[in-house]
Amino acid sequence: MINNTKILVINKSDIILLGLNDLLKNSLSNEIIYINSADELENYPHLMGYIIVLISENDFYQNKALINKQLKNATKIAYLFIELNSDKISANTINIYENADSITNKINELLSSFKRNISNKNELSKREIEVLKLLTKGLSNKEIAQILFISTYTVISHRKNISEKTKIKSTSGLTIYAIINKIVNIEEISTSELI
Amino acid sequence: MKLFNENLILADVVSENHLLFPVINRLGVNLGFKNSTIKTICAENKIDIEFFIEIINVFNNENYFPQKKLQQFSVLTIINYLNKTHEFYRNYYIAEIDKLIKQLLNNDNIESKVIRKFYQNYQNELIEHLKFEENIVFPYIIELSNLDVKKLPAKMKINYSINDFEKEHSNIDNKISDLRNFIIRYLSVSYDNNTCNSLLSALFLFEKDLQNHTRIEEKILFPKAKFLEKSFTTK
Repeated sequence: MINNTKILVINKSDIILLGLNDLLKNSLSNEIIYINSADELENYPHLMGYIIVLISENDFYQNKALINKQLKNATKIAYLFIELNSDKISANTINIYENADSITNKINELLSSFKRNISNKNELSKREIEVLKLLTKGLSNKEIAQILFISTYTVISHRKNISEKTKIKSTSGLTIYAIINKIVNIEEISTSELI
Repeated sequence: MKLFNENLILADVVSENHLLFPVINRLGVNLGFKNSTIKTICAENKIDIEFFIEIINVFNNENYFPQKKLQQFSVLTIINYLNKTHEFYRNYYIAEIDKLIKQLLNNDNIESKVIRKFYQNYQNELIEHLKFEENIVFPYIIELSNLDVKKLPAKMKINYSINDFEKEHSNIDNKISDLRNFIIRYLSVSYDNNTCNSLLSALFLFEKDLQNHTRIEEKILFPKAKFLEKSFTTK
């Protein structure tokens, strides 16, 4: 997940962008996107997941609304301010006079704080297994809701969690998952076309 | 990630990211780039240079997607490219993945059987989908783009609407990622590591290519088509 976090650098100055690129590319394996202004974000419409934004404090306040709008699919955004004034050094800023190690350390700290946020619950719960079993029988969300006395909305939410945990998204894929992991028997599957 | 521009030498671009080779191929350029720039090569092959640059940038950087710029290209340019992409899928990825799946899962274990079947169903669905786009959807959109609004009969008969169609895409993208996850996470029978390696590389590349393909259809071509449809239905 740490490696999936993207780093977005926004600054008018090409010298700063290229300088940061030189400094970061060897110490981080994350994808780094460099743009000159927040307006260019419209060319990157599918940014999602965890994102660290490096931007000057001034640019940040001027473009806050635009950035939030363009990064609406992000799971979590963290900011580090790019600071050009040599006097201002603090934990949430990157000062351009700082040494390379100190800059990458600050980014790495943010990356690990993301990691702590991600819980590690990969096992399916009892309820999720019940939902999965009914899914493999070819039942719709509504039918499953009626059988389990829960709302359709809850079924959809269970399905989403099942897919997140198993990384399998399609219904026929989930059926295969249930067979391989011996959650259901092949004989129980109504849609024989799968096998 | 820096964007490519027309003054770069194409051979350098391909050396930097060799995965662009099939894309360049689809855009109408074959091997033997010598030391020519993108500009020269596009001129020699009569290729729309702006389209060429945008497409290779979109492929090179998965987050880059200049929707407004891309929507300015003509329906024909886009469809021509999409058709070539389909051809490449059939002749290369689908053929390759089919071969490797059969090679990797060549036993009667339940696990192998169900994954094989899952892929077989997926492949049929995908080929059907590609054919449907080529034979029905694309010609329909080309027809829409050729119709003159003024000459249109009072009642246009629109036999097909783009809206009906978009749902199929997410299904196709999801299943290829499911297949990759079966191979990475859930195989337990003994299998050949080398075959598995080849299969995974093919799946990764195909999945990424498909995502780009879907994006170009859903975010560029279909909105253009919907706009055309709307201009007729409101008449």
